[in-house]
Amino acid sequence: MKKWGEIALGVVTSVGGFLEVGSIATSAQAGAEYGYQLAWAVLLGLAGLALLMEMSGRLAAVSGRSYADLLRERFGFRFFVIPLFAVLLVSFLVLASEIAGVAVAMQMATGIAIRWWAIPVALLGWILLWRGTFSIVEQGTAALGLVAIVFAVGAWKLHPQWGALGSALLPSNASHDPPRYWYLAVSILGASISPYLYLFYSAGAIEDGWTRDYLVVNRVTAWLGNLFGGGLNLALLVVAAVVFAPRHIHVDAYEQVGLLLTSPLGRAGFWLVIASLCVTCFGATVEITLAIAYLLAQGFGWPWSENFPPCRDARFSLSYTVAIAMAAVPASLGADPLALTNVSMALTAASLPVTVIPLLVLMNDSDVMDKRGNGWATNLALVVLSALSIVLLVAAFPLQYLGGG
Amino acid sequence: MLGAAGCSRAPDARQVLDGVRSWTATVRFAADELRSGATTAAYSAEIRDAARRALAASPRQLGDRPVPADTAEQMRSATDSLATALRLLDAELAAR
Repeated sequence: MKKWGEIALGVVTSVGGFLEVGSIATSAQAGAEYGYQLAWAVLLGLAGLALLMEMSGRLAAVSGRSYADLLRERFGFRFFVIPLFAVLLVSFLVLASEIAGVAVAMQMATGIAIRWWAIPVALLGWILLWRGTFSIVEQGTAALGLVAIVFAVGAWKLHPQWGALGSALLPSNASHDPPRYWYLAVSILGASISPYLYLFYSAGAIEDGWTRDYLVVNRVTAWLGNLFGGGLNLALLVVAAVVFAPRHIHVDAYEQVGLLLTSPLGRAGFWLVIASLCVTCFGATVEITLAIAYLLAQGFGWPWSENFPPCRDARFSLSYTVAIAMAAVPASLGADPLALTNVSMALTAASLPVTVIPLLVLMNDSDVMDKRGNGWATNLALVVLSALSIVLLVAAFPLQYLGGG
Repeated sequence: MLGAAGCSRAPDARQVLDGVRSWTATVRFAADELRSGATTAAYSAEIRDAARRALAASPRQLGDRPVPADTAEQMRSATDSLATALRLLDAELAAR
């Protein structure tokens, strides 16, 4: 019974993981500019993230160590430095975008400028991390994140063309402006398959004391949770396709997102979109900050746990303190939140190979995985995902140049 | 790496035109939703300000590049439409 409760919780938590500032921005842009056409990218992102989360959770449950820990141990510190810096850089930019996302929501609600909200948001996140435990952080943000279900309600009430949506689940050529189309596809994948998500998931499995008994919980949580979170992301794309695309509205600023649900849900829709943006971005802010601290602590062999009082893992606590403080700076200096998000999503997509390819090695290392390593099907899926990550690395920057305008 | 990620080519005239038209549609939509009571005055003022910034930025985005005569004419018409939509939203906001 306890395990089913954990599955339910894991599924709910995935809303916060999947739906955050990057996925809200990229799916709204994709729906507004290409209708349903980029639904396949959301589906691919969902499958890719579920696959990586299931493997990193299994790795932690079987070996008793997190993915970052094993990366350093099995590949050596010299290699570890590469994913360390790539993930730190990308996660820091995504964290700055999430803080800006909460600030945008607060600006839409109050009319008070974004720059005044960035530092209070960072402070609130830090207090939660300093005073809270892992379960408070995970469950608190997850419960509030359920407000994002409003996108599914909105999509249903807008009566989308289900046939067209179904056809869009398979990739197709761009209806216009191919560089922009592929740039948005890469950004959706970058927003979905963020390294911080599976690094956080792996560290969370250790925090929650997962063992081999939790392999079923892990599998169900990873797949069902991402199906739920990805489904809401798809619903957001559908809403943008039905509301914005016929009006020829492109999402050039976050403020426009406030109009997404006013047609089907009126004033309630307006406030629920703001609440969704605020809560999901705040949840992601806390999770990414923790993911950065986990990565540093596990990489350098420091004591770490969100369940310890800060005096027991001072360097871990200092890491998240510095990370969240620094990430509040861009928004408080007036950086364009949407531009910040778009750059960080392209960079995230480009950084994937350094964390995806080593997983292929670890999942086939019998010293680490015993008999719980990958079978041929999961290996094949991971090889395909590794190849995709290399394509994204090669394509991200040219597409950002050609289609990111 | 960051520099490369931050780079994107300057939008062409057609993209700038699409951007102005998108903001016109946004401002009209925002005015309708404000009138129906679905949004707040503070939020509509945010949309107005963002649209004004986009309107002011459009000549800068085009720079000194030559623009075909028909696109230039469409651009004039689009900026006029956006200015009109902004005046209507201003009037709606002033009435509150």
